[in-house]
Amino acid sequence: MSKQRQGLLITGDAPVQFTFEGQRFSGLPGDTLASALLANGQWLQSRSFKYHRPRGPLSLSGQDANTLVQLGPEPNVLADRTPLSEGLSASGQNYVGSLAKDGDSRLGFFGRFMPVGFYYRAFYKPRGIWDRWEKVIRKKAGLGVLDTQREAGYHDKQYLFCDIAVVGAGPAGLAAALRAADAGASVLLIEQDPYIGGSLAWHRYDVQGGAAAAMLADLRRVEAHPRIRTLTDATCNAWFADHYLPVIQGTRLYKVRAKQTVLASGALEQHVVFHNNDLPGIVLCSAAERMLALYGITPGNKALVLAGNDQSCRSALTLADAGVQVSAVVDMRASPDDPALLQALSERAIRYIPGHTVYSARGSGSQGRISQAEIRPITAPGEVGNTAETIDCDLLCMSSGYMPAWQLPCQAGAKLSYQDEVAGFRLSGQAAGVHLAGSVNNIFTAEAVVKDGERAAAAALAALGYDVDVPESVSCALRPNYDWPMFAHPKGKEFVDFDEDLQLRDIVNATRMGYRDIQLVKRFSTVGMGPSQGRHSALPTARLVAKATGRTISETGVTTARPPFAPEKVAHNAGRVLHPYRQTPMHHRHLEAGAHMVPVGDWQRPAYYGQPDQARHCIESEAMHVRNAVGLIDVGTLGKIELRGPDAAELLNRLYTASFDNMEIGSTRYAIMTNEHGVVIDDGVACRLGETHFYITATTSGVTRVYRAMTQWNAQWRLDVDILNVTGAFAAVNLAGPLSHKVLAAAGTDVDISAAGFPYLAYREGQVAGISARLMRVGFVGELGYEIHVPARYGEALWDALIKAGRAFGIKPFGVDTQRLLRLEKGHLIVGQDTDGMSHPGELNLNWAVDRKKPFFVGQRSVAIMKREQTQRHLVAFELPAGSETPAEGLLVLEGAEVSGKITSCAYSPTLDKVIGLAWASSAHKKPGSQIVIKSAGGEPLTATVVKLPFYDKALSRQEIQA
Amino acid sequence: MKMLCCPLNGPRNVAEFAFGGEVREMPDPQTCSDREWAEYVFYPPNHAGVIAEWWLHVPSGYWFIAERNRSTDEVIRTYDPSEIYTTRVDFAAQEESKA
Amino acid sequence: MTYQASDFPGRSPVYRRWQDQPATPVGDTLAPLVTGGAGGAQCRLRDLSALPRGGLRGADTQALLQEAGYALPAQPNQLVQSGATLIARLSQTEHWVLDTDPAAPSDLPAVQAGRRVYTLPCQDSHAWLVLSGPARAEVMAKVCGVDMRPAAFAPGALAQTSVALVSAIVLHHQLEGEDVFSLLCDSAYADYLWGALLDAMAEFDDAAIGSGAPPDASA
Repeated sequence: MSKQRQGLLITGDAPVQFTFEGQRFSGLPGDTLASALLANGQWLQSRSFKYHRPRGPLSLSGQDANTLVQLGPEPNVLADRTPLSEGLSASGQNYVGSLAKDGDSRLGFFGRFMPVGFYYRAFYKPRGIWDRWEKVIRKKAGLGVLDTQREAGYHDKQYLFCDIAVVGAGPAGLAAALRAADAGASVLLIEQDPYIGGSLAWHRYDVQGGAAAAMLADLRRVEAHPRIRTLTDATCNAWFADHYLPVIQGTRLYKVRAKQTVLASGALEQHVVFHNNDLPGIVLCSAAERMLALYGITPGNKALVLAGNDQSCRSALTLADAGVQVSAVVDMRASPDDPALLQALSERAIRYIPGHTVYSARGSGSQGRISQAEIRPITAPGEVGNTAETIDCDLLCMSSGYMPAWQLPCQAGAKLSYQDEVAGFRLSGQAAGVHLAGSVNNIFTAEAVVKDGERAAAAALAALGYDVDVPESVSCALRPNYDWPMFAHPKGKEFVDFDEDLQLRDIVNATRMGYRDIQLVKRFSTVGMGPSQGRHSALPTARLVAKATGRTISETGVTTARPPFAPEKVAHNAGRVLHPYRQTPMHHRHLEAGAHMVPVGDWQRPAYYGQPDQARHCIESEAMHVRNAVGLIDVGTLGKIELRGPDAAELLNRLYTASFDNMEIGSTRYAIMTNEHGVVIDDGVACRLGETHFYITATTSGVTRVYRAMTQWNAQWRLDVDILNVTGAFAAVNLAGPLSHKVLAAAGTDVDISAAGFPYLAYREGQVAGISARLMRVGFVGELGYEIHVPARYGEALWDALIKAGRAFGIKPFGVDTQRLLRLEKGHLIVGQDTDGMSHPGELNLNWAVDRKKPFFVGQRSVAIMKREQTQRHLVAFELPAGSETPAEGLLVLEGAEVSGKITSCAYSPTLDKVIGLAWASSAHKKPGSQIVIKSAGGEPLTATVVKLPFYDKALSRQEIQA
Repeated sequence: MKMLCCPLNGPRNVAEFAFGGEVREMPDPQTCSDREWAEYVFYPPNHAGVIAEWWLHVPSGYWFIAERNRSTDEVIRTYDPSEIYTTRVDFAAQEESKA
Repeated sequence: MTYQASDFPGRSPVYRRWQDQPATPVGDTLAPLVTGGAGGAQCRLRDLSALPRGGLRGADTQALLQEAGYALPAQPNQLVQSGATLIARLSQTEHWVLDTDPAAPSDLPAVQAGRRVYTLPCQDSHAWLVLSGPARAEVMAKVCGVDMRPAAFAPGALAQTSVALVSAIVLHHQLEGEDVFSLLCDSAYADYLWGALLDAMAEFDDAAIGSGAPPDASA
């Protein structure tokens, strides 16, 4: 083993053992999986998507798809973003056999038979052929293996608040953070890499070297600044309106709320398009610099640099100074901008070859790594001469320039315009409060970048009301982009998009097929649709499409960069899954009694008491028990609203269909509410507690809407009434059955519960079992019954007292499913189950509950109009003889071949020994005695007889105390 | 997530609010034509540009009005409904002939 | 002596969450002992639901309370603490009075007929939980979109907001000498919220629940 690697991120020298493709390797603490593999000479790390070509790291910063590996159960993990850990086990993806010997690599040879848009075109005709091919293609498509049984583990979310969020901790971001925090603002600095400094940590900003390190030493002040919080290894995945930034760090998604945003997101170094430009060992210059500075890896023995700017020439100096033999700098330009570079190259005996490009590369060995590059003179944009020279190399570093990291700025509304004089895109027009700084703003010299960061921070401070001078825009004369770094080759394989294996001609051909719009070129060719989302393909594609369609590059543009910026897991979005639930005070009593609980909105309610496989038996026996003895149901989930004030009755008049002026104190009234469409949206019971005091119940699921309607209308009407939703403040039970009054008496009450003292539909207040209670004589289930409401804190004690007092009478709790059966027998409808979004009172036989003479109620006009119209449908009650099948709710009612309605409620009634139900049917069949035809689950027609409601207790005697 | 500035509670996540429809004037339900009533109930104008909307801050149960530009999704201002609903609204009793 | 919650007619909606801990009667309800503060923990969750509270609202509320000698917050969404009593102002016309000392409950003034003042059943409609400890703002940031760091949400601040997806009122005030958050939520959601807060607290060392009092304090 050679001397110990030294790198910014290497934190120790104890070897870390891991396996890749079953082979054992050793890395160092601080390595990523990719860097550890590179340190072991393992350049081949993946196979390309379409042609299964061998691939190795391109950017070494998680910005390309060349390092996607399978990590245990998790596919598509970026090896250059995966920290190495002891015992880590990974493998390549997308191969048949092994990564080194991929059976499908021959697909590459068939490449010319798979032109752009192949899938769309080849499997379109004849009809049906896609169905056959789909299975084969699906098997070949996609990367990695998903373990569908795997649990994602604990992920959560947290808000982070700051005055100014700075995205990117390169020189611009660091300078911006310091400027803002020094002025007093709280700053959140977000960095995707595990270190701060960005390119200052590895790039040579001057010919001599050393400037970057000095500058970074200054900027490190952020680490101890009390007003700067730095998140490293954290990816800002979007910019959303009002400076809402989702930032992923580890298993947490931070929801950042900033007042201003500085986007110092940097620029993405761009590749050069030539034949075989995708071989392992061909990297961006920045990747080679990262290998050296971050991980202490010598990237190659014999390097060649393909330059499009001075930055890449300086990379050559860095490589040479690190001991790499650099054969030559092949510069696509005629000369460097900085003449001092020529001298520096010459001092290191590096050949400088201006006006040339690498025209093709060859790979060799088991990893297919680059071994030779053929260079040719550039004769015109994209064209080369015939004189060729071949240079041996095992490393080719390239740079054709930079693309500003446009994703977040564009999400913030910025537009890209291409500027010919710098051969690059510029961003402008982003939302107020978003400030660009550094290379994303086309500023490239270190000094100017820092100034630009400070300028952006000052602008953000000024927007926050700080008294600061905002400098003029910072300018930078550097021109780092070479304008046409693309060289077609007769054999193709000049990759524009590495993710999708798209070559020069694929893009050009897409335009020839008529896809001129960049968005259509993307969808047809799939350019930019791979994991790196066009980071390296957007710029060359824009240039190619512009040229092929005779438009400017600005006009051509790039495709929309929607969030997320980097791939994110569903688990991050799901976070800690919160399912709010509401429980009544008696909740644990239900559990102790063996209730089968069901959700009703957020509420948890007992459906019945017993096992689900005995559901029908439980429901029927609970129902018979209520009919014959006494039952107790928790109705605490009912909505409850308190109305107090001189206009309490007037508000009810306006919102419900009945009139409440003449209601006596101590009485109750059934109330239905319609919306402006005249549709019944809720029902309940209104109790008059005093001249100016009403207590209203609403349905469990409807009370929120009812309360909102009341308060919204009264924000306009300005009636003198207080509206209070007291749903959670009261526990409530319904004590029902012929023995219920005996239980109530046994529990102890000071209310006169005699038949005369507490008649049907009356309201009383008093003590029950020593607890202050509101009592109503209502008959939802069709038996003598008392609805008892008490303050929530006493709910459990009330339940206990009634169960205890009822023991002598055989009291049993019953659930909401049982209540549904009982109310059906009594013919009471449930709004939302038996009604739909169009049901008006006439269709529901509720005209009796509508006072049409009062001045106004919401929906009154619509109800009046519909009353004049011929009603098309009706909610009818029907019966089937005992022994019939019980048609499921939702089954259709037919009128000949036409659908005329559906079943809304249906059950076997043990009390009546019949199948009973409610259904929508044609108005022609609303008369009792009519026959309606139900399409059964098996498809056969079932004929049911329409009957008059109620099914049970037509004499209305059961609601009274039995003699 | 967008923010909405509640006149009572200040700027909050829009998830804390419920939308209550456009602020509209109800035609007199006793005198308007069926057509006018149907237009009011079923055909809100839904035009592009600035409109006034009802919003409810759910945790405090507070209704307010927001002027929002539907084209740009920019909220111009929010205010208490009492700014425009200044007096008690009453409805006249129905005339016998109409009933 | 040792008490059972079920010996008392009044019950906190979350009493099962602390029923193994030392407790003391407050009126007709059993309450966990509230002494001990955060006790050095990063965060602690306690149940104060048994403690007395009430509310009034309506156009004449402010006048009525001022006549009764209460010092009221100047603006909605503020609270005033006077000794063990918190007066929270929720809107132009709504005030709540909460007592952290059960021995000295505030008697809200009686409402004369005709005055526009309406009582609120705060004791039953809302559970009262207290989150204390230095990590309390960070815990809240995991379940609430309002910035509750001291610089943005100082003692005396009140927020009506959404906590773990349910509506709640958050008060920043002093309790036994330390700054704490009181959370008032629909009593039917209290068990859910208790669980959601425990989950948010789990990452912190020494997260604690319940009374925080030594076991023999129940004697």
